[in-house]
Amino acid sequence: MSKHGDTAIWHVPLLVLAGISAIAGIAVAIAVWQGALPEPWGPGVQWGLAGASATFTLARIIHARSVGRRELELVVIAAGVFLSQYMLTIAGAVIVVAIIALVLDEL
Amino acid sequence: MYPASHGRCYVRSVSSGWHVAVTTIVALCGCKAAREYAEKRYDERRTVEKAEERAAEDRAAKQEADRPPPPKPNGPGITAGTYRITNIRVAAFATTRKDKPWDDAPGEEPDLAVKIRLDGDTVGTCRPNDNAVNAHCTLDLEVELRESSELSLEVVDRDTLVDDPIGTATLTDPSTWGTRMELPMVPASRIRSASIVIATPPTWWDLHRSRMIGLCAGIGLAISVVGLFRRSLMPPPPAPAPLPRCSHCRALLGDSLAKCSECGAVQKVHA
Repeated sequence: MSKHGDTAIWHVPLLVLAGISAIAGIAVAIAVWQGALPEPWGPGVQWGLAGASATFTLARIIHARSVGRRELELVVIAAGVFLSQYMLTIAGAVIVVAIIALVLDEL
Repeated sequence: MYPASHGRCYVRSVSSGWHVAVTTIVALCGCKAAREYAEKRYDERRTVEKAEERAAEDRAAKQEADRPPPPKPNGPGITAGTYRITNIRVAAFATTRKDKPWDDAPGEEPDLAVKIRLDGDTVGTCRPNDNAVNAHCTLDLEVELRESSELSLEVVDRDTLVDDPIGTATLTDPSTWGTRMELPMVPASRIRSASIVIATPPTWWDLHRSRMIGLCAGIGLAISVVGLFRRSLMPPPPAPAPLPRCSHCRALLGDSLAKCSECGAVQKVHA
């Protein structure tokens, strides 16, 4: 049970979509890293999911009356998925920290 | 041919199964006669083998001579700069010059290995599948080409101890080359045909095309979803609750009217 009640992230459809896109993007990024998804499809799908996640979050930020930490955390996750192609270790650390912060904020 | 002994009579070995004949000759005619017989047989056999080898080499030479000459590359020519070698195709003849298979059975076909040389210097290697006379390598090998560069391939059959040379293929005159097109090379020795494909170095767009297309598709899809489901995804902010009014006089309950019992006073004020 969330202490935030009806204001929890899963009550905001745009953030739910952003979160799902980010999780799928992370999964694809790991698959690309492991070589399971080769060029050009793997990185293309990865960037597509990261872009979708960032767009949903941006739409939420534009629409929301107030922007909280979770929007910022979702932006950080999407940016991490973008960058994981080039800076795997740093991007991985950024994603992990952002996810932990997001979960701690919501629970 | 190995020496073989029969008692104290040492004679040259000619072939398997000849021991019975030699033993019989040694027994009947003596060692000297057996030696003479063996030398004679050996000479005959060597003569036959040499004739067979010459015939095989003649056949191989004819096979190589009958090989159709490769078409001249008809590219627009290249300027000096950095390029990439992206593809190599090599087809070798199925047998050696002595008309023998490249390897022992099973897997008599050669295990090709290709060295790529630029102006004599090895710039890369390619090891396609084993046991195949046709080789195809996909590469991404960056090379610096000049107007007078010469590309060549050196093809060998990989063996455990010593590799057997198969042949070479060369490509000269860069004024006839082109990028992203198959450039036929001039084969030599036991190479049937060979070709190479070079490409210009990748641009920023070449490197990032799939990512950019994916990114735009993702953003476009997200914008479409947001646009199509705008009402459910972005509900308008709830309107502020109407201020409470007194049911008697419909006056707003607020600073000017603390209780509905003051309705009369309000009406007086309004009057």
